[in-house]
Amino acid sequence: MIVATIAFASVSCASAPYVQKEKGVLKLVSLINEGGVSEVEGLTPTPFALDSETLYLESDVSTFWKNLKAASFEMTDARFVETEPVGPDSYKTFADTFDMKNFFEKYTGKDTSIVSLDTRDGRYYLLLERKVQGYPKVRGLKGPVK
Amino acid sequence: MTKYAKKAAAVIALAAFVATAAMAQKANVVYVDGGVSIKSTAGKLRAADFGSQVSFGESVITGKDGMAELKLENGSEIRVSHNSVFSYTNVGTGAESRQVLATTVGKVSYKLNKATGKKPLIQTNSMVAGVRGTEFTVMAGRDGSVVLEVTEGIVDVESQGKMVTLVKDEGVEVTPGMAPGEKYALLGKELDFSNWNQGKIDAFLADPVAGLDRVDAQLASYQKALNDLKKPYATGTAAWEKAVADYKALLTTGDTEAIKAFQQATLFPLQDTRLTLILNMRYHALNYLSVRRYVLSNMYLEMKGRYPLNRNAEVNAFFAKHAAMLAKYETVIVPELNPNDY
Repeated sequence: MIVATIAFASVSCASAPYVQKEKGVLKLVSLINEGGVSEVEGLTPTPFALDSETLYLESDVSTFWKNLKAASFEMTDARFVETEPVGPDSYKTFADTFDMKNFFEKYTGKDTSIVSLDTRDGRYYLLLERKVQGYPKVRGLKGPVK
Repeated sequence: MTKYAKKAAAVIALAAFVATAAMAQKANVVYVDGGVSIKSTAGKLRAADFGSQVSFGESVITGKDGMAELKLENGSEIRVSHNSVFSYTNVGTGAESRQVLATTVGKVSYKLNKATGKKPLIQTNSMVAGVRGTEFTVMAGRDGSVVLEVTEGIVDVESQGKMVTLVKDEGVEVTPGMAPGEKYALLGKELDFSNWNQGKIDAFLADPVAGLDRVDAQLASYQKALNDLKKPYATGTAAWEKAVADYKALLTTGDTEAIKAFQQATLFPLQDTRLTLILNMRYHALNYLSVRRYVLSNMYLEMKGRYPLNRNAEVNAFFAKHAAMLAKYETVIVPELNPNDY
């Protein structure tokens, strides 16, 4: 009975989607706000979804984060709203387009979540994956949406 | 239709009925340094390594520290520099298949074997080139501009219906949506790609809407080429459908000679013509997709990173135009694509 329970729990863990924790997400936001470009870059795999666009090159992702830092970008007063595992229609949160539909089908999985954050400038959507070096990996970013 | 598009169409027409054995042609990765990925026809990325093979429809994407060297079956060599995208495709089918070697982003150097049977088509975001056994480098800037420099042999560069012929130690720049510029002498030194590319980005940032306008002109030429084929395709499809109906009726007669004669004289030629049109329409649609994917997205990220929040009228005009261009792409090109094209 105990063995069966452990086995069931193991299977459940293996198949359950990875859930993003508020603490981890806000830690990532702090890193972005502090302009930790090289760290954030290391957390950003390619392809990367940026609003309705897809960045395929590492150098593009690097340029994007560097430019944000140079622009003194911040997610001001960021508040964790919710996290949802990616589902069949999640792409519409980024853009209801052919490109985003295919991006989500090809480059997201059961461990990818869309995390909503409210800030002073509007709502951001972060497409996040399992943690690496204490921070969630960032597969995409959309916002701010007012 | 341009000279090279006509040539490509002719090749496809001749080859359409031939078996597709040549589809198996591959480029072999003979050297890799740093991060290099191969993007499959299904859009999946895999790490490239020594001995990896790149098939038609696949792309090689190099990272910040990456570079790759490929060798084609005829011995031709291709060197993909860092931060670059090289796409390997083909037009036509069977024995008449013609390779398309595309520099989509960054810098790719070619050393093409003179013994090559069918000459490959050299494709970029803003021009095509025909080669006759030669060595040259293609540099594709992030604003859609392209430079081609020849170190050996002869290359014909064509854009917007105009052609420039380059010989050893000559180069030319092509701005998107425009004819090739004046050719220049290399003076023993290759263009510094990083500086040139940065200059292109700086020029784009100085007037981002004008940058979009140039790309829009390039996309419009692909759209026109695609649209020009739609009527012939509709006519060809109607003729082919009628032939299929006639053929089915003929089959019921059991007249073997008449069936064979109908196949050769009517059914197969109509089938080939239709296939040719389909392949050519896809060729133009994929060119459009390439510019949209690698040039428009780059312009967007440059602007989004610089102006994440506070935007003036000019910046707002850029984002409005960008959104309009994406909407147009969704309407006119996406119907021509399939999910594996992404």
